[in-house]
Amino acid sequence: MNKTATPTATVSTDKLQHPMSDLLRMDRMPHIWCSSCGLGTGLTCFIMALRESGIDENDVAVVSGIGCTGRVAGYLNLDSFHTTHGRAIPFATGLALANPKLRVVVYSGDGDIVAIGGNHFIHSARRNMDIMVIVVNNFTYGMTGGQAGPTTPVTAKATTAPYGCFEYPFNVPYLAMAAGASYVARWTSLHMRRLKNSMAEALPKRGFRVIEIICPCPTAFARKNRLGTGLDLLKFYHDNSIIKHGADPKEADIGMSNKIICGKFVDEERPTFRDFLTQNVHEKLGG
Amino acid sequence: MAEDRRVLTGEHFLSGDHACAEGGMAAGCMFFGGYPITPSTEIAERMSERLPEVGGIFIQMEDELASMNSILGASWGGWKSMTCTSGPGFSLMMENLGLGVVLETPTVLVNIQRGGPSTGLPTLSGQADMMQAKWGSHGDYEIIAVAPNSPQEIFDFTVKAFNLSELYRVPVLVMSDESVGHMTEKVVIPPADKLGVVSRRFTKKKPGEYLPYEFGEDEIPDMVKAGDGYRIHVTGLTHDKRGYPVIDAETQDWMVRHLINKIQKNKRKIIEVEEINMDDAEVVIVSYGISSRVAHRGMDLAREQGIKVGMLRLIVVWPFCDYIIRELAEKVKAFVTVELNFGQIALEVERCAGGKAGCYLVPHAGGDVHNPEDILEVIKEAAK
Amino acid sequence: MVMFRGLVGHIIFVTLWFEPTTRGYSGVKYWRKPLDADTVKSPRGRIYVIKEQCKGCGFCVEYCPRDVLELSQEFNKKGYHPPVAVKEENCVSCGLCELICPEFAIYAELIEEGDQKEPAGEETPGKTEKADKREKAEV
Repeated sequence: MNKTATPTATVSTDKLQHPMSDLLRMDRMPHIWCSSCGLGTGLTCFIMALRESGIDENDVAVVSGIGCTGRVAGYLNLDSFHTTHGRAIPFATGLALANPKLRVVVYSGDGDIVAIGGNHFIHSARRNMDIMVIVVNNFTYGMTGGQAGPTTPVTAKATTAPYGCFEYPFNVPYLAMAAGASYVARWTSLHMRRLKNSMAEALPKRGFRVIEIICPCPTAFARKNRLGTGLDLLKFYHDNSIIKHGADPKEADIGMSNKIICGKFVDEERPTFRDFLTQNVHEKLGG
Repeated sequence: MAEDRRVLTGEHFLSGDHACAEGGMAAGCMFFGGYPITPSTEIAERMSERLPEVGGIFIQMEDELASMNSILGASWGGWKSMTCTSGPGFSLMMENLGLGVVLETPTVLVNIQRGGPSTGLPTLSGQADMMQAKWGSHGDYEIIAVAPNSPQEIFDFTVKAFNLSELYRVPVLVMSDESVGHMTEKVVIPPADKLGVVSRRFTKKKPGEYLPYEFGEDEIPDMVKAGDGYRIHVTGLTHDKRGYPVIDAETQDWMVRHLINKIQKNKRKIIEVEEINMDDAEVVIVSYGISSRVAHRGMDLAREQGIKVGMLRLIVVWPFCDYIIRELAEKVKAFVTVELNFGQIALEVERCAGGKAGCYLVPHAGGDVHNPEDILEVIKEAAK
Repeated sequence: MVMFRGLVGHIIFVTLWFEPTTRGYSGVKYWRKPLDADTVKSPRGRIYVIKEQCKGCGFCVEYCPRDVLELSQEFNKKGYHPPVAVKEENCVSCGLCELICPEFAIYAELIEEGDQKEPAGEETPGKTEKADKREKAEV
């Protein structure tokens, strides 16, 4: 190991205050995620994005479901709700409708949002609910040990797919666009700055916004499929992802011989559920 | 949109479902997230029309699971919320009813019971979800359930349900049935200031001092709502008073005891029964909902024959009035439970009677109401 | 399957990072000196590592564009090797380590402003990184 240069960095433990610590529940750090898990990176991007967007932090509510990603709500120093598996989106719907001043963000995993929560995902997109959904896709059910999920690529191994997954996975941006989302983007956790910019751009927007983050799961997915550590997966994302803004999400599926297509696919403001409610109901009543 | 549209004071001729919707309106409901299911659909329909009149929001969710969660979210956003369903939807709502209990969220769930199990008899009455009301969600918990027996009562009890849920920070169930839901009777809606509507106790503490699940003698924590700067974290995982998940036996003991004690310690304030002809009663009919109206007739027939029958009508079914039954068991000869099922509340009566009095059941599979004559037969049996 | 071909499972974390040649980038090795390097002053930064929070993933070491960091030989309480700045004079306080670290265990603080206040144009629309948003840490 190269030790010729004398390190000059200040290295200390409890006395240092991380610049993001005001938006984190430092009394719960270090968090439970594995070494080289990509969730922490996504969270740092979210915190920076929140700061940059200029939104009042007291107006932000984060709702998560169950899973490793679901634990995000517990680490953010914002009004946060850790609800049941798959039901973060309807909970967020009630929250957003009851209090229009709130900027509601759903931050949950691939299984939580598109498997058990799939119905809620497509209907909220259809209604163009004013919530932002961050789907962290690590291709597996990490918290419970690495089961196959609706985004697990074909031939990947999982604890419930010991012979290799043979079900065709969801293409989340395509699903979101088809269901009616008004902002759809996908980034990997390696594209930190672009991810942060995407989040900062989407946060103040209105309508159903979906950002998919492809992130490494070293302990469950990578280990089962002999893909190495989180760092190996980041290197893989570097070599195998391409940025194509405005690409047709139909071609953005992750599997057989495609690259991981990242970028912003859909960005069109459409009237939200509340706009239609006001227009079609409240105005008719003369209110 | 005006507040004067909220309480339709006056005399009306309403179906049970519509009266229930009016009860919700009168109690201050601002959010309804529901899914149509016979025989409760009319509640949703009426709410879709009435809520926007006061600036509230009605949303037909994609399924019952979404409905249950949306009302919890709306409650945390600061609004009073409710939903309605029947048997199959009630089963779907169970997991998230548990979430509502653990998060200590005030909300109201109306179950217009129908014949079950499974798809059963969508358009006919039943009362076979009563045990499910208490035990339907997994884990140990306590919940409050009321059982109206007429459109007037369903109006009154829906207001009562909202009040209880706001007071005790727990989802409250209105366990009605298709007969009451679809019957049309006179409903008198009092003026708004006579309703006695109660709202949740918001904390007076400042952000930083407030802990979501810190409580005093009454076991009821103060509430907040999202967006007020408290930056709370609440979770369905077992949590401590900070709201943070703590996965160990000690916290589990603390939390479960608290959820149970919150209702059990305040039981005597929550439980309500109606006693009819109880002074000299030797046989006590225990009933609730539509069955209580038929049982009343059965009681009258028995009295005509000289049998000293009284009736204990349960207004609040859960928490169960165990101390009342225990007290009565010392004095009376027998209990006769009349319900549209094969023995659910009857089991509670038997448990509490402790063998000191006979326990009889007049069962019914549902689809119709009892025959008063059948009730009379069992009363005669019980009186021997 | 393109996705899974060609990757070798490196289960052991520590041994891999210290070879400068094993990079994910295809061009960073050939880091050339900018033509106006003598006339333009780069910003300077200082690295702060919250040792006990580090889980030794190596992201910061790998992706620091100035090769400032390496994993140290010392252990923290959990047995991980936290990073240490071996070429701190190279640090320009770009903030990448802070952004990529999944553990909130490292950040850089700007100690000297450079000539160029705004970073070069970025591909995605959106606000550019503002270095002054980061608070001064207390040591």
